[in-house]
Order: sequence, then C-alpha cells, then structure tokens
Amino acid sequence: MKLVIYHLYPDLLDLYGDRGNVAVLAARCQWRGIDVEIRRISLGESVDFSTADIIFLGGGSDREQNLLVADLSARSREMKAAIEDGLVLLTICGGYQLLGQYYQTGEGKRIPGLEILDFNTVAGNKRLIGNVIIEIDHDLRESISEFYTVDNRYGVEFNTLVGFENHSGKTYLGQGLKPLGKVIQGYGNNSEDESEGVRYKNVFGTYLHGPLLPKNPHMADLLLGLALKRRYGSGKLERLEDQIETAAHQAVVSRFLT
Amino acid sequence: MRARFWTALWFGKIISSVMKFLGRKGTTLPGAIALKICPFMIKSLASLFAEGAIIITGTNGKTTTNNLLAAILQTAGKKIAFNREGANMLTGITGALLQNTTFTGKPLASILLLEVDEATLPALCKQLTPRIAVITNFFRDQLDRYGELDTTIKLVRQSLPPETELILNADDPLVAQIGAGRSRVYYYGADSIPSSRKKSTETREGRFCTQCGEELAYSLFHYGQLGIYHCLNCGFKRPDPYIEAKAVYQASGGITFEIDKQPFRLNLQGSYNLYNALAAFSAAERMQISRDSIRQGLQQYIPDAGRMEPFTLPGGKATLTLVKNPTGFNQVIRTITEDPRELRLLIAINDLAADGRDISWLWDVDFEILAERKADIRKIICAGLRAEDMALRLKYAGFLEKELTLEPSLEKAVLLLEQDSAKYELTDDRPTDDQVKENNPMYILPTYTALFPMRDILVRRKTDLKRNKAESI
Repeated sequence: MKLVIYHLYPDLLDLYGDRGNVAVLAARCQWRGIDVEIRRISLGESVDFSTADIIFLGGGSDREQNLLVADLSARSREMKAAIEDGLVLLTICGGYQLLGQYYQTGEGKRIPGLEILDFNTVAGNKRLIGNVIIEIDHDLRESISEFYTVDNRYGVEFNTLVGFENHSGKTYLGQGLKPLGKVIQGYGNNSEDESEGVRYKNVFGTYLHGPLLPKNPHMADLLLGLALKRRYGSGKLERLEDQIETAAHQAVVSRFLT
Repeated sequence: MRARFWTALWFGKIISSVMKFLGRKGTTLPGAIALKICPFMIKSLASLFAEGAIIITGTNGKTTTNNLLAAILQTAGKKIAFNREGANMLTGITGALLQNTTFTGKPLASILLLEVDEATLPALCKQLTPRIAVITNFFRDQLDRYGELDTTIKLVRQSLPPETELILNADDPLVAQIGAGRSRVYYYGADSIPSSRKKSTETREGRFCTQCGEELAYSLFHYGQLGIYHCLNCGFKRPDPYIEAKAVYQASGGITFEIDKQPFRLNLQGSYNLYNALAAFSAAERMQISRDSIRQGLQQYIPDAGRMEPFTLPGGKATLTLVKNPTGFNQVIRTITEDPRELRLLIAINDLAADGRDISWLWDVDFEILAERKADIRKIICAGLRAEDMALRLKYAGFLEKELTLEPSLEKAVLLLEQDSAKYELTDDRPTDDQVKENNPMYILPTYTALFPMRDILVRRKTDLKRNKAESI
C-alpha cells in the first residue's frame, strides 16, 4: 500500500511550523509499513489529481497568499472534481481561507478565493491569538473512531482538538457546511458563533496550527484512514504507541481549559 | 510640564533605589511609574545626552551587538548609558534612563545606547530621534505578539526618522530593503562565512523580492535568508557594504576576519556573532572611533550570561545557551553536533509572553540533524512548560519514545542530566563516573523565561561542588 501526499506551496505557505503536519502523516504511514511519497509542489508546477491521496495546504502571510491565488485558480475545477470524488484535503489558516468564496479586506475590497466551498472571510480589526480547544462534533467523532482506537491506558478520550490560532480574518460558514466542532477555549472561526473550522466530504479546514496533527493523532489517522479507504477500499489502521502525543494533547487541555 | 518631569524623575529614582536596596534589579517598575506621571519622560531624559542616542533593533543579536558596541565605545574612553537585556520596551528603557540621570537632572554619560524591541520602536521614535539606528536581522520570532513578520518590518521602516543614520545588514534582504530610497544608509556584510553554501535547504524567511515579489536568486547562502542575493526581475540586490568582512575563519574559541585587509578577532563562536560584531563595528566607525579601539573592544568582550556560558557541575561540564527561534536553534544544533564527544542534552521550552506563546516554531527547527547523531547522544531530557511538545517534536525527528525523558521541573531535570544514564548498565564497558564527567559534556538549552531560573540552578550546583571539594580537603 502506498499513499501520495501533495504538499502545496511548502515554500510559500509554511508560516506556523506547518511542515510538521506533513511530517506526522508521513511518519505514521512509515511506522505502519505503508509506503508514502511526499510531492512538494510550488508555483507553476502541476498537481496530478488522479494520483493524489492527500493534499495539504498551510498558512502564509498575506503577501504570499496573494501570489498563489492566481496559480491555484487555474486548477480549481480539477480540484473540485477530485474533492467530490472523495480526495482528502487538509487546509490550515490561510490555506483554509483560500477554499472559500472571498476574503474581504478592511477597506471592503473582496479578494476572490477558489470558490470551492460556500463560506467567506472578513478582515477583523483585532488579531485572534491564543491556545484553542474545540469539542469535536458527534458525527465527526464517529468517523474518527472508525480509524483511530483510543488507548485506554492513558485515560484520554480524544474528544477534543487542540492547537494555537493567530488570524485576523473572521470566517463565516454558509448553510450546509459543518464546522469541525465547538470552541470551548479560544476564538475559532469568527469569535462569535463558537464554530471552528469546516468540513465537507473529506475536506477539512481549520485555524488550528501548533502544528495541528502532532498533538491530534486521531485527526492525523482520520486523514490517513479516509485516504486508504478511498484508494484501497479499507482504511484499517494498526494502533501506534501514542504516549507522547497523548501527553502533549492532554497537557494543553489541562492547562488552558478554563 | 517641568513639575511633572521632576516628580517623575524623583519618584522613579527613589523607587529604583529602594528596589536596589532590597536586592531587586529595578528598571521596569520605576520606569512604568515615571511614565505614568510624565508620559514624555523618555523625550526629556534622552535629550540630555550630548552625543545622542544609538538604538539597536532586529530579531536576533540585539543584546550581543549592544554589548559589543558598548565595549568598543568604552575602550575609546566614551561614557555610555545602556539598558539591560530584557528591559527593551518603553518601561525598561525609561528605567535605564532614570538610573543614568542624577537627582539634579544631569546625565551620567554622553552617549545613550539602547536595544529596542521591534514592536516598541514606533512608540520610542515618537519621543527621540536616534543619531544612529542599527538593524541586525529579521527572523520569525514571537509571532503571537507581533502578528506577521511583514507587519513588523513595515512598522520598523515607517517609524525611523529620515535624519537617523541607518546601519543595515546587507546580507539580509529583509533588512536591506529598509534602506531603499533613503540617504545616510551604511551597510555591513560578509563576502563568505565558513557555513556558506551554494544551495540551502533551511527554512528561511523572505524568499521573495520585497520590491516585486519575484523569487530571489542567491550566488551564496550564508545562513537562513542571509547571503549574496539578487532579484532577476527588478534588479534589487545585496547592497555594496560599507564594512565588509573577508577571510572569515572559525578559530579556537572565536572567529577571525579581515576588514580592509586589517585583521580582527572576536572571542565569540557562531557566525551570527560575526554579524553582531560587524553591526557594532559599523556603528563605532560612524561615531568616529579609531580602528585600534574597535579591534581592542571586540577582542576584550566576554560573552554574556546564557550564551554558550560554561559551568562545572558535580556531574560534569555543562554549557548553557539560550534558544528562542528556529534560526538561532539551528545554529546551536550545528555548534553542538560539531562536538565529537558523547553528549547529554537538556532542552527546556516555556511558552510565556517573553518566550512567545506559540510554540509551533519548534517544527521549523532541524532536529532531524540532531537525530542523525543520536548514537552519540547519551541522554536527552525535555523540560519546561512545553516539555511534552518538545518530546513530541523529537519523536517525529527520529528519536524513539524510550530515548526521551520528560521532566517538566527544571531543577529535577538538571539532577537527572547530571546522573549517568543507564545506557551501558548491562555491559562490561560501562564507563566510570569520572569518565562520564570528563567525556560526556552537557548542553542545556532553555528558552528565555527558563534561562534565568536555569542559570540560578546551575550557579547553585556549581557552589555545591566547590563546597564538597573544600570539605573533602
């Protein structure tokens, strides 16, 4: 078995240690004897959506994001078709915002997004910065439990996602789009409706970096499981020793949950 | 207005004296109180210094550059006032000014030398026009406090008054761009350093031309985004340096280099310290200091606390060094992997305001290089408020869970580090305690808020060792 992970614009979108997310996906495959290939794609290079199992898009500064909207737009139709077909996509912060309809600047100017999902982002006047804890939605938790078996020895249920956020854009989801869960600490999508992130089919967007996947191994295994299931019909994953992952996850919950 | 000034001065100075009497450092609190009473305290006090103010800002190297420049100016017989490390925001700067002004409002020095936090620069420049401003480099550091790096650079550029002479790092494109379209700009750089390469795989900032957005081409990478670069599109390029180091060599315990074919020596290791020396060199030159005084000042400078600072502990020799961002941490990793002996390592990561609350930067550090040398790492302990995150990062860099020790308490972590590890316990060639002490140096790497508590622990351990020796005699 083999998975192909596309890391889009690693040279442009790597603001918050995002390469850690890809490293985690790769390591968790290797530890299980699953072959993995990382393809780093930069401006002007093409993505072969038929070979892609997981696509990762991280966050960048505003200047760098503007540079690649045009580049990605050229591929948005193919990307949309692949998404409908169940392609696994993880997007963080700036990469998350790009999936939406537009980003509205402080002066009211609308910078078009890739228009893949029905949501939009509006510049806020205050940066939303800090540790975040979200309670994962029930049905998402069920999908996770299909691939990730909680190790009872550690007494941690993994009903939460933990991370760090740093964004000024406020994202508002359209009808029919679900968030990843409910914010129980921090700001989330917009600091108003308690929602955090977005999911649609096998597409996930979130403001959580830290990076996201090391401390949330259940989320990492969800992505791997979904990709294996799509490609090979079964996404069964062998359980790994997640002692340090669990300790790091729990340390955030115990310390910051007020 | 005057009444406010005198009230603030006297109040501040009295509180400062009381705190000193109680054994506290006493710069920030008196500064904060004086600023409350008289918001333009910095303006009033700074204008008293006859030869003006020199400020140093940038991400890394502010403290070392400040101290090197102070050493040079003092060697040349100048009287200077400067702020202590960490006191680089408005309150700390005011505190330092209070300490350097008498109760009768006379300055105790002729030159004011200030290291300034990047985010504080705009507010400071509203109160004083620096004679010289030195910018060291721009790296990703404490993003949660400043927002994105671009924003920080923009703030710095906009707040520097046109009358101020700028001393800029030519080799850092993010710093060099600040000189574009300005007069009175003096650049420093190095034609090549021992780590210079044709290609780079390091995480680096500012890959793209700040003028036009095109990717920058490099004929040589020094480290991070520092190097000899040019833009193929718009012609932006590394400016010709006013002070350029050539023939840079890593010497034992320091660095040697040439400026205009004259030799200089610095008793600090690490290429980043060469840049700190060049920044101080350029500023001193602009202050009309002789090359002889510059040479003497650089050579006499003794390293600061927590920057490759050596300690002899009961469990062996230890080196303490601050880590605070990916570029700095990569430099430290490179330095310690050059040590051919088997190592013991303690990394203490905190996430308080002064460290940066966001610890995702740990994933931009090349711990993979450390993992390649793991056969030579006898023990590795992760400590501090984010001990688990550090251990997790090392796990994904290639260490096994069983090779990592988690000990959040700094004190306990030091004791564990000093004890011999169990690595050789089951074999005959287990080294004796003395061999371990001699041959297994300890490296202790804390972030900012862990540095001083850690240093206190090491100083105490050192004293314990002395006492034990005295008793055995």
